[in-house]
Amino acid sequence: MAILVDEKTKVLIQGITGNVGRGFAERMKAGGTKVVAGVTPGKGGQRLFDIPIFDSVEDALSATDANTSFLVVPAPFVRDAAIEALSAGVKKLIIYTEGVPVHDAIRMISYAKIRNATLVGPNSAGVVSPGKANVSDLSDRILSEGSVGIASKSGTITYEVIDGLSELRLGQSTVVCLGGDPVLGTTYVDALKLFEADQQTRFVVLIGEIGGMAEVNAADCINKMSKPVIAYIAGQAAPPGKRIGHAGAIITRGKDTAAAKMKALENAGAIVAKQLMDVPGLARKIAEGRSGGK
Amino acid sequence: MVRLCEYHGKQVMTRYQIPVPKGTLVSDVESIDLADLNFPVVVKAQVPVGGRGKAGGIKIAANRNEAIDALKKVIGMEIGGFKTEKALIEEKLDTARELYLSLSIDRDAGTPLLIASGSGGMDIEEIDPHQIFRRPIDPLLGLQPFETRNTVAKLSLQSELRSQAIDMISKMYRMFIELDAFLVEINPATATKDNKLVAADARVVIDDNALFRHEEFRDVPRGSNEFEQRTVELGASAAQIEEGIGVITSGAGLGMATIDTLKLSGGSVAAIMDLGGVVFDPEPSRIAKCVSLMRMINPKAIFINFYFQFARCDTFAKGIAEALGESARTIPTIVRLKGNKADEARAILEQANFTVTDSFAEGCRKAIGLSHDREQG
Repeated sequence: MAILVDEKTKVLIQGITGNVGRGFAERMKAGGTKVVAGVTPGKGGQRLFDIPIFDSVEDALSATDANTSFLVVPAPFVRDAAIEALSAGVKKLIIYTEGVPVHDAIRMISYAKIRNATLVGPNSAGVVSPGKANVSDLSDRILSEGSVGIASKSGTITYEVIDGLSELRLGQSTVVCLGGDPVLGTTYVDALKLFEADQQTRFVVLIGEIGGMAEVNAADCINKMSKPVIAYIAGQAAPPGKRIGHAGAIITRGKDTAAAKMKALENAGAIVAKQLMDVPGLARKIAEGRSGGK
Repeated sequence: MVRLCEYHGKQVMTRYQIPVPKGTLVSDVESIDLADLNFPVVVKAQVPVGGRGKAGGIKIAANRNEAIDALKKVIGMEIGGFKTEKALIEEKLDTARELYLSLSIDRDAGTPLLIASGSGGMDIEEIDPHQIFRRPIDPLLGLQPFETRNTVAKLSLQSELRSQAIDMISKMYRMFIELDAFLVEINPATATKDNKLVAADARVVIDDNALFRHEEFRDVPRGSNEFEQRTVELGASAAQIEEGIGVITSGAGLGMATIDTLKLSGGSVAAIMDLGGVVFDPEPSRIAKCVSLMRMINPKAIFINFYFQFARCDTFAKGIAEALGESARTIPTIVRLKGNKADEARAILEQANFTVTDSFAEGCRKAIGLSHDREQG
């Protein structure tokens, strides 16, 4: 089981010949993830780590059975690359690139909906189902197969959480990094619904942050879930009106503060961690069946 | 985000033929020329933040002497952390009604959003919610004429003003799309007694991720002070907070989690710096520049917290040692590092006499300890 990526995942890397793309191609191959094609316009016919490169997504799809596109092209070209993939019929896109203009993001996300495709990101650290497929920048060294589902906006916080879980020998079903941008293709609600239906996942860790209403919308969904959810919201100490790195992380009105989100999640039955370091302990309680959560 | 000052926003609006009041921009009280303007005038501080009126940055002047007095007060005034360097002097409009009009990004719906209200002039948060009309716009279709028409119909305007409002919104939308804006807001859009609709204020925020196709806004300052601005120029981002620990992290999320933990454990935070994109292009000298900037604001201690999956810790260690080793280390510094090439990094830093740990919790504890020692010592 697991969600979004698994042993059937066959990856196409758009932007494979750039520095970032090369690094991913090499690591994914070494880790056993099936990378079946790369696309870089003008470099069709070449091979990289024995992966065939094509000029277009259309060419890649007619020659291989790629079913998931991982986009690492530079930000100015992301919209074109994403719409190219969607037009060619790719149903799963994970956009790693950071710095994508928001007007580009909303257009490609709208288009993905019309094409009935799943788009993760932009500015996502990727998606990984340990032991099955790793389409992310999380290192296989820290991951292990297990029953914790993770949905997060922040890559760097996710590393910490997985580290903490690993120390307690709690492996992951799937880790979904939604991305740090204000407008995202896949939301917490989408990920939670998939985790709820996934047999491998026993409980979920939600890592959120200040800004926007996505975590509050997630609360409505958590209300209806049978599986426990642990939630941590970053940015409790962040100054209002100031942006901290993530374009998404800026408090605007008051409903999007850390406190308001923590309250909404708690009311919905989530187990809310006051600080990041509390997450592994709470997870252990649930794993051992000692928690008051659902 | 690139926040344009009012005058700059109005210059851009003028390009789109959106009517603005007649005015002049001044930065020097001595050399002002008001010959072309009819009194009374409004003198407005040019800072890229809201709340200027409440802060005393907007003054009405009935004649030249009053205008000069107002200017002397406004120039140099500090509003929302910004020092006022320029003022806009405009002819005061003969107001009959004030509207609120804006185009923004609804981040949760993932669409552009048209907002209009017949009662403008105050913050959108203060307007009666029943008087606010929202129209989400399909990103692929764009704003349709009927959407503008039907929204404007709700503002109960007489026909002459109605057509001007429709025209203004269409132009605002074009500007919003063409300039990759997060926000184009006219509040108030003033209906004058002789039935002209004029943009009395202008708030324009441009997406800094789209600057590659908008060279003209590249030089607009993005930080609210020198420290923040210089960090942006290095490709990282920072926010100055209060007195205390200067925090540098390898990501925004980790940065927020770090300052949360410090605060909850009794620490205080001077500033947070997220190295962001610098991680992808890790030149020791560039990292050194970022770390040196943190010294500039003189925090009580520096806590550098990074955990890399693939980027090399030792490259960062070299940068840190370069920045803080060159002069006497007057600011106690603790480095938490974990990930690729951590052992090599640790050796570099320990040789330069830094305190190093691989534990997030221990790093936070030690940083607080160091900052408190310095307060007492």
